[in-house]
Amino acid sequence: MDATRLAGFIALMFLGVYAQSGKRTLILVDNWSIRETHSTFFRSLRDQGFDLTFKTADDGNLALVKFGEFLYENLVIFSPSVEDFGGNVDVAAITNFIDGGGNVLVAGSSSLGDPIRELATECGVEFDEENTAVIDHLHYDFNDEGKHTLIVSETENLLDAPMIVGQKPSAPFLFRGVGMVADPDNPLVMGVLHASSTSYSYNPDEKISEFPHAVGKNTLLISALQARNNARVVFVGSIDFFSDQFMQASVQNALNGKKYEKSGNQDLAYSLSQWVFKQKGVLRVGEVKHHLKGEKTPPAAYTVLDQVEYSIQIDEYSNGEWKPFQGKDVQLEFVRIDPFVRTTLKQKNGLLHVSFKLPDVYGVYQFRVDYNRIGYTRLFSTTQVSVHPLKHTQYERFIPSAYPYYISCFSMMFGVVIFSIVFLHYKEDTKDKKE
Amino acid sequence: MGNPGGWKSLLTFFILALAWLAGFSSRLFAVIRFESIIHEFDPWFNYRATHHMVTHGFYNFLNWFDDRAWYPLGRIVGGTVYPGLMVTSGTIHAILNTLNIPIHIRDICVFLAPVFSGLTSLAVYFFTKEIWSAGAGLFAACFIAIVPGYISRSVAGSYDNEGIAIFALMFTYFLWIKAVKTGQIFWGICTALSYFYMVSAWGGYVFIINLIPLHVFVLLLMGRYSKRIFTAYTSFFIVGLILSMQIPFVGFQPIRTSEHMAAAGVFALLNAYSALKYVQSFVTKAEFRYIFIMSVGIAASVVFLTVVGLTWAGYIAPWSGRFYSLWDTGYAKIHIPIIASVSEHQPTTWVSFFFDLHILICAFPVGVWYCIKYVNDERVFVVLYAIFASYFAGVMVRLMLTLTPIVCVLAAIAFSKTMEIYLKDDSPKTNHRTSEKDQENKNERLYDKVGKAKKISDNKPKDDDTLGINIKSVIVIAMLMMLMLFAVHCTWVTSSAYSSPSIVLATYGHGGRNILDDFREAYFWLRHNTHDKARIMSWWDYGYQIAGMGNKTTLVDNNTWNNSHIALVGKAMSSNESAAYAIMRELDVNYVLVIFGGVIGYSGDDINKFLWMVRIAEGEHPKDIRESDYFTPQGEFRVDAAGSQTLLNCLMYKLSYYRFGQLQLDARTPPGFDRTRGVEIGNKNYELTHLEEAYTSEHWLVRIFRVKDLTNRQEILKPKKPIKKSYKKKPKKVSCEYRKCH
Repeated sequence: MDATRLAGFIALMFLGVYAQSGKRTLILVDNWSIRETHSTFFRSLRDQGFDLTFKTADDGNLALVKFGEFLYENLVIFSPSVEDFGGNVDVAAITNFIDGGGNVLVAGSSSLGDPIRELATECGVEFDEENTAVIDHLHYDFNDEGKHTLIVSETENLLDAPMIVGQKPSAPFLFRGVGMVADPDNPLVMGVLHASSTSYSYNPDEKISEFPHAVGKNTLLISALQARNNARVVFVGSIDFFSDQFMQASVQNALNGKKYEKSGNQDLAYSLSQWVFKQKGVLRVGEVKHHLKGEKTPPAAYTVLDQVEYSIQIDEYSNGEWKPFQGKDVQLEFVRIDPFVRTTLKQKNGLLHVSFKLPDVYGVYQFRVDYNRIGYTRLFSTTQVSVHPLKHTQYERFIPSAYPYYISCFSMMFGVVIFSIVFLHYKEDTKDKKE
Repeated sequence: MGNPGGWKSLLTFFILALAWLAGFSSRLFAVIRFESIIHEFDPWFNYRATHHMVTHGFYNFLNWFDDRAWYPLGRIVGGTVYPGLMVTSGTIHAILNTLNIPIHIRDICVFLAPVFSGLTSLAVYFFTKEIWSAGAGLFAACFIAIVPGYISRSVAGSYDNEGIAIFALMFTYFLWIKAVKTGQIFWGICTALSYFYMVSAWGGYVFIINLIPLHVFVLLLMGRYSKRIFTAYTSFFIVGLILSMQIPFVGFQPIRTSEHMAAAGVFALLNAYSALKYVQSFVTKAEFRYIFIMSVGIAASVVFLTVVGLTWAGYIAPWSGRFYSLWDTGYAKIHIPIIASVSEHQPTTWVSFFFDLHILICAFPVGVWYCIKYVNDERVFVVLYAIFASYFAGVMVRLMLTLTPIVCVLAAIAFSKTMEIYLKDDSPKTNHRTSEKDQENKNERLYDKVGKAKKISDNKPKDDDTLGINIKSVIVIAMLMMLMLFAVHCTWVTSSAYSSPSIVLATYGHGGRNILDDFREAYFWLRHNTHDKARIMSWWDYGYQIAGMGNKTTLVDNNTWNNSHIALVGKAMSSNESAAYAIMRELDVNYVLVIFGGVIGYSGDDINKFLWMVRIAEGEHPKDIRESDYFTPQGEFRVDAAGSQTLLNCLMYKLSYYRFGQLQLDARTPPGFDRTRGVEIGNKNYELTHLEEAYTSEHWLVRIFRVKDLTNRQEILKPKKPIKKSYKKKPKKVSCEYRKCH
């Protein structure tokens, strides 16, 4: 009895630790051969400590949720041509997974099924139709088969965000697949890698009869969504991008003949996987403290013009552990509809700290730290406090400029006393005289 | 009849006690029909403030910063209320508790106004006694006890400033008359003290501080200057001025705003006048004339230039908006819609004069005539009071309240004087007895008045009467009939018009009385089901109730001190949903509360108030909101299919009528038939994007919506290339999609 309980407890503990690590990953594939053709990428995931589960996309027992709990933290969809997911999974289940905080990496290809396209539109990205491809007649690889769809994407087309794409790679990337577009007004979606200005997206086997879905730099090859709950989704238009072949291949631009021994695909894929599965660029807010200068605990309410100390603990997740965040540009706002105070927080004993004077305006304020940087998770912390006006006992009692009034007041009182004494005596005198 | 004086005072005491009792009991309709509950809007704030004062002490009340009101601006309650009301009930509470009578502060608040109405009767009695006679005083006391014009603001549960302020007003005037009559500093100081109580209780104290100087000024003009007036006014003005500045809300206003300048000017004038009088006793007539002209000219120009200069420099505030609207009734409508939007600031209709005062309004001019005919220093005051109060009552409905006491006083004089003539005992005693007997059978309470009036006429026989006994009795009976009808009318008005708590509604249909308790239902839902710091957006009318009953943070409330904040809320209500969402996020709104009367036909709902929201919003944001957009091209405000599209898609419309299109109230009417407006609504079956319904009360009277967070993802609603929507595995989701499509 005790033994089973203990065993159960250990199992629970193990599960708890296991669940915490956030590394349970489900990989959906079209067919099992992808395990072999993309082995380098999967190996790099395994080396990072991810626990990989491979399933075919039409597996009848497919499920993301069991008993109301998510079974995985991360989802890789390497099954672009899927027409219908198996089991309990559908587009709604995947968007629920995203809304529940799960991260998704999606790879497309020219044979793109509707579920993937639908999933993309749910996330603010629109893939071009099936059988289309990104075509570039000026930047294609030497090994291209004549349709100019194996394109060479230069490194300057990459988003300038080291947190997502890693250090600037030395070699261009090989890409063969479908293009996508995103609404430029959507603040949540980033174009990680866009095509060159000479590219467009169309069916390479057809004559161009209508305006292409995406043209020039609007064509996105890789896009990323960081949802408001900080779930991360990356769409890559080409499943071959992750293949062993592309990672090892040499790159030679067919027109200008520039040749690189090895493509930049492997480095970029590694960085992307680190970012999308939240191994990098994750911040969290720890304890928030605010109090009057020289005190330890926050008062029930502040008074105008108080000197206030504010500190916030922000941790960054890096290399598997939480460390104090070293950012120098975190700002604190003291807001009542508009910010009345905006100041930069400074490092102090692993905390971000600032001391400032409250404005001379009473009201209900918020200490607000709103830190949004590309590549980092959104950090938002708000603490509501009220700022009171002075109490009736807190006003200055003796104002120098009022001394004339005090003097006039007291001299008046003195004068009245003198006057009444004189008046009374004078009256008596007249009486005496009359008598 | 051994001691006529003793009988007289016993009778007086008895009548006043009865008046108090009658006044008290006729104010209890609401308590008997509903329960001991605070009414309406402002009383809820007063109650909340009183409760705060009783629990936290006076100084904490004085420094109370209410962070639940006017989010995120907050409100300094201690410095923005007239604390007299709270202090009065707090004192009563403390006294009763020291006497070991445990009573909840709410009950004191509920019954404060009826109890004070008795004190008002007394004050009016003494006032009338001073200016006319004790008999007229008894009449006046009885009138004021039951007159609807005063009952409207002082029923049980109507816990508002006016409840105690009318007593303070009449008592101050009584003391002032006393001071003018006697010319003693004692009475002048008493007037000032009573004035201080009035200042602490109600903003209407401005009426006193203008009327008394006016009285003095007119007396000067009439050549009725005397040492008595000088003593009375100077002692009252100086002490009253200093005392009134002790109220934090009033502060420096008495020396800085134009409303108070008349008092200071008259004070200067009076002193100058008496100084001249003094000088006159030393110099010759010719010299005096020279001095007089010189000094008057110099003084007038100096005063004028000083006032203009100080106003220009900003030391004296120009007239406030509410004050302007007293002179120009159209002013508020154009410049300050927030003042015009309040129903009690509307001009009075003639019907309401009769409704509130009945026979008294007819007898009132007679009283004025008698006062002018037999004029003396005090009666000048009464006449001035009557003239100005009538004017103001005509401008604003709420100022009917200040007119009511003087109407009672003058009507009482009229009745008393007439009774004096027609009940005069110039015939054999036996005749009179019989006529008295007749009246006794008719109405017992009126008999008291008759008896009393008769007493006076007995005491002051006049010799100009030659009327026959029959005419006399006919007239007396006619007058008694009118007074009886007055009593009936008063009771009827009180019971039907002024005794509704307005937070509990009652409908009378088949099956008897039906109580609609939607307001409290919804406020208690808010209290128990929302986060402690939840911020509720609603139109300002409901701010005090949400704070008082729901104990939640509100954005705007009935203390309409910040017009731009109200305009922002008005703008949110009159914008479309996404524009409103931006405003609501800026203001951290968690819930939106609207009042919707379409289901039960309640006419005081937000859609009927909606044009005011638009107007107030337009005043501050003329670029975004235009009133004309909410009308049809024909200039009509309608919510049916012919209504303007701006109206049919604004937030207020969408919240009020959300899901209402699916509700069929009656087999004879189509679904979505609005009973208040009597039309079928024009925009049905829509979905809300940024809000969701959180609570709707039983009769849909109160609807509460939760403001959603920003969406987690932004989906592409209109893809450039068609996407075949996947087959959904969950049937629930299918229905959801179905609704979206339509």
